[in-house]
Amino acid sequence: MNLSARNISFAIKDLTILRDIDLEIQGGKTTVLLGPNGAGKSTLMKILSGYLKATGGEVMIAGCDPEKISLEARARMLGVLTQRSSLEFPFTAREVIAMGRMPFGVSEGFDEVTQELLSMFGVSADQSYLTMSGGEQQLVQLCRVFAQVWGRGSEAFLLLDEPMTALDLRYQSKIASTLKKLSLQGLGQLVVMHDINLAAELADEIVLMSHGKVVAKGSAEEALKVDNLERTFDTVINQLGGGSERYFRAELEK
Amino acid sequence: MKIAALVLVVCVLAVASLLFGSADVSLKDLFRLLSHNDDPGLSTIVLDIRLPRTLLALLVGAGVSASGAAIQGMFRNPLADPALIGVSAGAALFAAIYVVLDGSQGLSLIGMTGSAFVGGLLTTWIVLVVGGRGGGLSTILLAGIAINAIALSGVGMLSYLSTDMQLRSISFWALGSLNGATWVSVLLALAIPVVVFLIFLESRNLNVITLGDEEAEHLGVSHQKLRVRIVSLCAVAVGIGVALTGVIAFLGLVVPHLVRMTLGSNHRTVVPASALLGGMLLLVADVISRTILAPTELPVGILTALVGGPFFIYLIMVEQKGRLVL
Repeated sequence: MNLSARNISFAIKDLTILRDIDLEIQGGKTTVLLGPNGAGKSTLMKILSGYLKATGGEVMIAGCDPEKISLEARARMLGVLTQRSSLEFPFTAREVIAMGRMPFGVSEGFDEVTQELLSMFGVSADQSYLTMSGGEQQLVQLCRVFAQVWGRGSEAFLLLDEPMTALDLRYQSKIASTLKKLSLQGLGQLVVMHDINLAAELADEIVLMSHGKVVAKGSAEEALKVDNLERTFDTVINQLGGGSERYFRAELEK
Repeated sequence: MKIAALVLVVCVLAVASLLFGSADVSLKDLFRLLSHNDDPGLSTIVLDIRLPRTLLALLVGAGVSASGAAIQGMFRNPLADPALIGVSAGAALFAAIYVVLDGSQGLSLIGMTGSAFVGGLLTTWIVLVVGGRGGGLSTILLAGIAINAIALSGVGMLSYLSTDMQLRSISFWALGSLNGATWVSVLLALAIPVVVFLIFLESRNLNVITLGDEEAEHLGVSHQKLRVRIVSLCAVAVGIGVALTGVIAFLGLVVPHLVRMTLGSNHRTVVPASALLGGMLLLVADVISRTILAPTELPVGILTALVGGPFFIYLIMVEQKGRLVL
């Protein structure tokens, strides 16, 4: 099952946000979107998830126009983590994670998937979401999205907008291994992130975006080159090491 | 379990409320009335005056509070109030128009209630249409605030133009009172539990919408359709309540908040618990309002605002203590 975008463009009045984007997310593969703030990554994510309609081009989920798939059916095919989820009510962690099971008619939080995620990530089930730190809240939101695709294998996709935001190293590594595990189960993934080095480790394909356009794409080895990164981020990038030991960092401005 | 406990307390309070008022009625009198109804005076006080009033308080309190829970969930704001969608102000405006235009001395219940109900629904519809154009929740909120202000200035204008008698009717109604409760008003209010049940059926959707419009859509819930359903249901529940009893301040804001603080945020609990607690609190407020200055009555809306306001401030302060500032 594939999730594809052909010649996607998006504009609000005279402001063009995306131009001619082609992208394909295949089952069992992880695509990582890298680019500076304002490059259009989140907008592209919203279009791929069916929340926004592109002003040009077409999106196909498993060969179907997302508009022709009911919201309920789409919710069983796509798990989406948005960048900003507000929650102003003291739901418990269990209740928030269980919301991810709603498309499957389960929502009380005592189902197997919710229990498994709670114990796997060591989330304290009955703690109020509002008393959690930013990182813990992000972890709970991630678990909610995982709950939506857990065990679905190649029947679903995962679209994550900056999943590592606010997570400490331990949770970053735990999330990264979970993504790898889900990928092995056949789940197609699109992940927006800012950590080039983590992206290189996770991605089957990397897409570099800047000013609403694709600057380069390919495997980590093909796409992650100093000149591509400098064009993308408009800053000086240094490469340390080589081969599989490559490491990139932005040079500090003097 | 907690809901069952609330139901039990509501039943006890409902029976207790029949005992309070300007005439003394004892528990023994109530049993006598049930076993052999031989006292027409007692029967009139309990069955024709206090019982409909008790039931109306429970029904209206339930409708306003369950709507408050739904509106807060939908607006993702624990400080939202059903009045935000314009239903109360619209009902007040149309009630005032009816009072001023009606030449007769005695106002008919159906005329007044009908005008208020239509006004509430119409204003809510305008808020939805105007606010919906912007697409976001904040535009609905802003439209609600603007249309509320327009409707209330209309009430002000009509009050200015009205005679003393009419002014008294308008202000008494605007302050909220269960004084006019009859079996006809209880019959009309029986639509409220049906609407509350329909709101309850939206509980899971309300849970999900608190995450955000986009998140709800990704979980299979259309935020636009849910918004129209919730606003319409709340407009009917609050519209009937306001039409029958006038504006009951603060209940729709405080009750769901109190429920969330004690029973959590799951709307499958919050909606029914708010309905029960709201009915209970309005009943208690009404008993106090009719006994505190007996033989005259304090409009219950004054009491709910007078007690509800400071209590709400207290709740906010307690809540802030338990919440990390991150």
